[in-house]
Amino acid sequence: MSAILQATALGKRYGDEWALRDCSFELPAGRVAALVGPNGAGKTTLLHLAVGLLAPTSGHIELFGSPPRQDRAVLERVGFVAQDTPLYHGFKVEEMLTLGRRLNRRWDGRWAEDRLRGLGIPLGKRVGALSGGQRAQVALALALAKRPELLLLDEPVASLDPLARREFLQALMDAVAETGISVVLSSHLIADLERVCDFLVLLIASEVRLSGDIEELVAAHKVLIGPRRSTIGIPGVEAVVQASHAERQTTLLARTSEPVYDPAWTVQDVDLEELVLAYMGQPALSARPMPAGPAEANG
Amino acid sequence: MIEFHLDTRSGVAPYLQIARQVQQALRMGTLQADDQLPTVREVVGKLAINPNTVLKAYRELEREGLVAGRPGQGTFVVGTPAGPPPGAYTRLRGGLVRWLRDAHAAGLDDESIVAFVTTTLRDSAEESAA
Amino acid sequence: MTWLVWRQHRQQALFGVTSLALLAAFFLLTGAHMHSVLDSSGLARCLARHGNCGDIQSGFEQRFSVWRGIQPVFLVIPLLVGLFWGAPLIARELEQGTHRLVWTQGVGRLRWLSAKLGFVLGATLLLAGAYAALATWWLAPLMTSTGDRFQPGIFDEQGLVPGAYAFFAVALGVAAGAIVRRTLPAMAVTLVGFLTMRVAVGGFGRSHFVAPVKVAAPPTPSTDLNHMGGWLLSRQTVDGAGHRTSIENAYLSCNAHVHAPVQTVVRCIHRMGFVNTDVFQPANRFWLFQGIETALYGGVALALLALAVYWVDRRVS
Repeated sequence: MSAILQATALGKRYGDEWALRDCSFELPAGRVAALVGPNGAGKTTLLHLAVGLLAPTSGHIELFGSPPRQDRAVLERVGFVAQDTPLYHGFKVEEMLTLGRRLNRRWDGRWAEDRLRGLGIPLGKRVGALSGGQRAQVALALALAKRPELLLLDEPVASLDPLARREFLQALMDAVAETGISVVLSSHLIADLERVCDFLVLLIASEVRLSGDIEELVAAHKVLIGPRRSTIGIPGVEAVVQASHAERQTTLLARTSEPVYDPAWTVQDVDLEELVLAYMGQPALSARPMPAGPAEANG
Repeated sequence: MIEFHLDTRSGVAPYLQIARQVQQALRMGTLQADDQLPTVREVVGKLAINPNTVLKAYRELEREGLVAGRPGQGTFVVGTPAGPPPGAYTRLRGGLVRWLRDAHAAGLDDESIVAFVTTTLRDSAEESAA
Repeated sequence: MTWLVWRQHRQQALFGVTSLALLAAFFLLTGAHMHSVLDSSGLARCLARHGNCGDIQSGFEQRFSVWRGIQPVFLVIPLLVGLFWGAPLIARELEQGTHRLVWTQGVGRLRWLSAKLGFVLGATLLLAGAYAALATWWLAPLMTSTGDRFQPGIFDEQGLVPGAYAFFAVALGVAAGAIVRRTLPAMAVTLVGFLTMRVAVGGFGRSHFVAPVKVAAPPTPSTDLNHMGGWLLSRQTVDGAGHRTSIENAYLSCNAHVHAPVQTVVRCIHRMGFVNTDVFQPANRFWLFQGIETALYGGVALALLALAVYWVDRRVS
């Protein structure tokens, strides 16, 4: 599979502060990727770099092999829904669609109209009079009517109530099933996206901490429970993500490269949320390599 | 046609949950040969899950020889999983209901019945292994 | 893009055109009346002969004193354009994030910006030009009557400069909006910036556009002390001993108040050595000054627009 979005040593600095640093990952085509990280981790910065709203301070980012800031043509193949789904509140829904038609070369207005009608959103209503969930749906329809190959959404469900959240994700997944579009969704909560995503980019403190196929990531991480002792050099363990020690017992969340057969350890599977939380719980930068002696942390 | 539902708390991968629900429906007789499975879009629109998850479940079922994709039409049931014939469940269920009535009469509540069944299952598995 | 800009700003445009239409109706009705009275009362002919028009003039002035009183309102109009057309133009988009919606469609930010600027600046020039022409025509009878069109505050209400002020106010509003990114603070910056510029230029800069004329002469009744249509910057009168005094004192010293013959008064003033020094901008420089001030405001406005474009292109995401 070819990369639809590729970041290489990508960085963005505001003044002295790096909003994003040394960020490298590849997003294969046809995936629904979750861009997850705590607030302020650089998710919005990354998405803005991806759609050319920002220029990188260092490194580069490419969509379909072209830098979006220099090559605007590439943006015709990308749909973007910014945070808080900005729309002109004084416009009617149908006027928002007219806007899309007039500003884009490729545009499927009928598809968008059918879609919104199917959701029961009146085209003659003013955008400002719609509910938050309906507005998000209009923004989504607007982004999809361009018939993009890649759709980027910045915290699309953060401000929605649970029902609207589900309806939004249903509509999004329906579009994915229909068109096979690649998607990147950002969120500070993995639970929002767990069902819909199959690829993860975990951004913590301006750095990409983890990226890859979710199933592979989940399969590669295990919880190990065993007698309290050093966690260095357990066969099969590649890196300890999180370690906690009780008086007699040590619990590890570890990345494994092969099955752990050491009978001293009870091995359990992890779910995605546990995995993400373990990485988020890591102190910045210190985590990757292993040395975590018994004295290091107490849990 | 059947409807899927997902239990996000179960810890079972969503694609496995879907595959198991199809297997279950086949065993119970709610799905039979030549029945069509919901299309990927129908499932996705209902459950708000990644289409790849549904595709993966269907591929898994295809691998087991239970369903087959017909180009342009959808996915259809072609076989039944190995196991007792559909009628067997009805017969066994009757016996189980009678047993449950006995158990309740003997003073067991639902929780202790479940615990009882689980331990008995485990014991008999150990016996047959030994 | 044209459709979007028109759809977004049609209400403001409609409001602007309606306001101008109301103003125009007012100007045409009252102005036609003033023009006709200026002719029918004989004031125009009298002033053309440089005669003593005391009674006719005071009659005219009394009749239209109300209109003279509302003149200061005109000073505010260009500012309003900057506040309500200029400041929200970009600030409202940045405030609501809608710029991100548009910039990620098939339209680049510079095309977006030029369409918006083209629309609002074009509308400003058109409406402000029409307004300035009307105001100039309307003020003409009052200016003819007293010849004070070069005076600070009155100079600013006619000719080319109202258009230049409006253009500047809009550019200031646009730049403030792009940098401050919020509508209300941008309006505040526009208000303060506009007033600062107007006070600085009107109060200090304008009198130095061209070196003023200095005339020193005995203040006899036949000397031109009115500088009709000009702008008197300073006046100093000294007596024979070089002490500062005033023209009134000179006349009193020569008994002018008791209807002495003019020849006597003139001789007396010469004899006593009174000299009056006027520093002023003569009336024929009016349009030169209008041109200089227009160019000045236009230049600053263009610099502000360039800043706004730079900022939107480089500093906004």
